[in-house]
Amino acid sequence: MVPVELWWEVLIRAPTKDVARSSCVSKQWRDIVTNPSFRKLHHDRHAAPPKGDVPYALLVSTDSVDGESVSTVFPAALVSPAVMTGGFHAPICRVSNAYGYHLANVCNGFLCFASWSGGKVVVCNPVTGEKLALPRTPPLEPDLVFASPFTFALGFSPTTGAYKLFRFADHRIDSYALAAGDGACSGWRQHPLSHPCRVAENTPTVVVGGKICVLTPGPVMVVDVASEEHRTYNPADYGCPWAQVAVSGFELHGRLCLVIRTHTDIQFWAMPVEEDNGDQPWQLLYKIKDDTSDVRIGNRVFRRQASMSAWFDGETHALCYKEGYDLYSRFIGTTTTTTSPAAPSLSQTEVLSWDCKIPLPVTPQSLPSCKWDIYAGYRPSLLSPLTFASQQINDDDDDEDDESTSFVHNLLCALRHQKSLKRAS
Amino acid sequence: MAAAAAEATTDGGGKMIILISADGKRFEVTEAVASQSQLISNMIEDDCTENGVRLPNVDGDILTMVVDYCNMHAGDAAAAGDTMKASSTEEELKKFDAELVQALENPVLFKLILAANFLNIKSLLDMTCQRVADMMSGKTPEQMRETFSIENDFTPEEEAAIRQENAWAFDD
Repeated sequence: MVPVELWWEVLIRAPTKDVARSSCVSKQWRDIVTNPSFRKLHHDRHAAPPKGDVPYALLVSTDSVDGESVSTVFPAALVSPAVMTGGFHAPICRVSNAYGYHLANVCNGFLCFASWSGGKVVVCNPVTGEKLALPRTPPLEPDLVFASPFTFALGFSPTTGAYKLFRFADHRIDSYALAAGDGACSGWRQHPLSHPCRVAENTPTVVVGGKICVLTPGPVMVVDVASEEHRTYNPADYGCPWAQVAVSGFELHGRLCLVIRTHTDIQFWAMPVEEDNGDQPWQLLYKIKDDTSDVRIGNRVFRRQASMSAWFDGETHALCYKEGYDLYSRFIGTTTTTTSPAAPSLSQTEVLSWDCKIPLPVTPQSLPSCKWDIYAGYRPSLLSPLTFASQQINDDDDDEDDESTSFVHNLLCALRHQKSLKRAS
Repeated sequence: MAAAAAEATTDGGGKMIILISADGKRFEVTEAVASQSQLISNMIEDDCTENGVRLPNVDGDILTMVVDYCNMHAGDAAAAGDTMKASSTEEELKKFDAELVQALENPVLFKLILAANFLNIKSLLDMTCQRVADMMSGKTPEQMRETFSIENDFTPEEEAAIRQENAWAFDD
């Protein structure tokens, strides 16, 4: 007979997926696995990914149901067709948010949803189905609130074990540390930016090795989650002007892999390693011929507007690239790209082709509000976001329309003011 | 532990301790070796090891393995001051550890875990628990129950509900 504390010691060492299955073994195991302190300790033990660990990609589809945004989260592993025919795939979870929330980013086992106005952010763990609304974000310049784009990203520092939410806007970065319930809550902190960061709507961000990389078509801004220091990396020469490329990125072998779509190819660049004696250059890993071409009418080229996402599939060892309704993949083997700066870069002239093109079903017209995309960088955990529920008052539990609520409140105050004037006269 | 190891090396690690298993087998080890067990290390500090240390929870065959492990790993603990003695390289240790747990039948492995837990030898507990965790890898709940002889005390309805909650983990 093995005592419960030893099963605890065993289960805490197993990966999240095995632990999730183990909750079906017996009541004793279920009780261990659903214990909040077990979940916190399990997260902390597995928070620094082992070398060679490949995060999962998620397929998240969002539809509006009865005035709410319902996001359904699935694992997006490429599996062999034989397995795919198995039938219905179980979602990891469904998350309901107030209307207008979108998925801002994925960080470890958390999904970070932001409201359309940027006022509110919800952090959700799809495995446990729990979610936490964070305190309201500080307002941007009031007159510019609709004009200035922003982007949110949840980050994690393996060295400090802390999660922080960042908001990137034109001239400032705001950060909010998610402290465990008993920790001191520092609230939102603002960092001015000396150079404007050209964030746009849906600027992609990648969380890798305790840093958040903000991928604008030009420079890449990298923010250290722990220190909140930021620096900007000028990109490599893509062979075409920045304005004409589309940018995405993902974690590859513990580094940022920047994905650049030019008119002719898709380029995969590895982020330079920070060195004491100056920075190493960006390293071109792969250059793959673009199968789709821009629409040309006469001499004019129309850019494709389809969103792109890219990731590395750990099961099939393939680079994956999704644009519009097409998914492409290319086997790149199991050999990890050396991180040595001396490694020879791929010759600029060597252009590969995709191995495989999978046409994806087009969203039917009967589902006009259904939107979906693929998000890389997911590492399932059991950590409850409610761990970060701090003592501060969650003033806005009812998400519904509180921009207008506060407006109506002001309106009422103004009316009351008018009344008191009347009475005074 | 560091303090105890340092003490042992000053007198050449020569002071010996007798460990006595549940079935009365006696093992003579140096203080440096024995003090990898936090339990024994505390006893050494409290000076209550003179008449031998009785370990009523640990069988002789399990204690043999524990003593082998501690002898092998004594290098780690004493390595700081005694580079000559730290003859086992990290790779050799890894190989030794892997061979120690690889061949064990489950009941023996669990006895070893219990002993590591009782004696409070962190590295041994870590390694043995990790071995069991690795055995769970990719297994269905049924296979896990079979592997570890665990009785299913859920009703079919309860089990179905928990499976439903964790459906994503059954995707392999």
